[in-house]
Amino acid sequence: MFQAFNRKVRGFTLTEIIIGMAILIIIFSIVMRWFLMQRGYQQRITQIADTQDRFRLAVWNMVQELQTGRVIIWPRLNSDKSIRSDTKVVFKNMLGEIVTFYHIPEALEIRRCVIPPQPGLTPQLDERVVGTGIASVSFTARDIGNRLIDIHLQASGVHTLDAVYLLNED
Amino acid sequence: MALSILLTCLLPIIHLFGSTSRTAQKSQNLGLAVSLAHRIAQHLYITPFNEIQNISLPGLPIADGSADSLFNPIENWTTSAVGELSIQASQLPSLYSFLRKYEFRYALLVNNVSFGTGDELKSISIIITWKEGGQDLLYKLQTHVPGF
Repeated sequence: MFQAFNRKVRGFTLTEIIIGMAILIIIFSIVMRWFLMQRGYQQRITQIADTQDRFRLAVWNMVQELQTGRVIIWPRLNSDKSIRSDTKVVFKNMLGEIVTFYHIPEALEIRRCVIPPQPGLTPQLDERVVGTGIASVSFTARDIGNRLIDIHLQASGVHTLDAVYLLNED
Repeated sequence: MALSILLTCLLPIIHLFGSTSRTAQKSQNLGLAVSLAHRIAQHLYITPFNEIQNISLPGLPIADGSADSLFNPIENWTTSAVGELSIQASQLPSLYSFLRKYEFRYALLVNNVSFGTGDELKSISIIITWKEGGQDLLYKLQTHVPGF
């Protein structure tokens, strides 16, 4: 009988296990909350970087053709010489074609189209998209000679401002 | 023992998140600075030669800036000057808050170069500055505008 009382008891009691599990659950919940916050923050950062990449690509695609264009047909300054904005730009390119870059809000795209010189002909819509994921775009005329166009792109709270001066003469 | 293992695993993850976010934020602002400098350079082509003046550092703010030929007014969706929009909180809140958050400013450092009477050009340094993480950052673009 005395040997049973002298035997050493090793291990955890039920109370200790419950308290340990409670502490682990609290620590785990704190860590998971922080992890989910960081993941959301990272997604936002990645979205911003992706948006900037799309902006750069869209502006690059437009600048290449605009810069060698001859004249901006639309938008043009208002009659009181104030600036004028629109979601499309129409210009004569280096080859003499009438080209337009225009925004499709539903698809968040900028597309290119060649307008035929005579009425009754079908406009030629490019299959390749100029820019994607763009919530809004404005092309603004501010030059009386119709040789400068401002570009403002916006998506997900991110903005880019640029401009193009046409190098060729009409 | 378990906590020490957990902390050992968490520290590199915390560092990864921190450095990645700073990298993406820098690339976001640098891309905008580059496009702003390019915009100013293009505008200088239509600015009268004698009106290209020096704007010393720290430069002029782009948000809430005074009316000029570079940024304000910036848009007009109407057929008269009444509808002109400038980069102000009341008119373009999204763009205003975006530029104001990082305090984007621009400066022009102009050097007049003369090769003789009637043969002049201006060598212009377009400087875009902004604040990020408590630090002042800068992007510089060099361009030349001929006098003819």
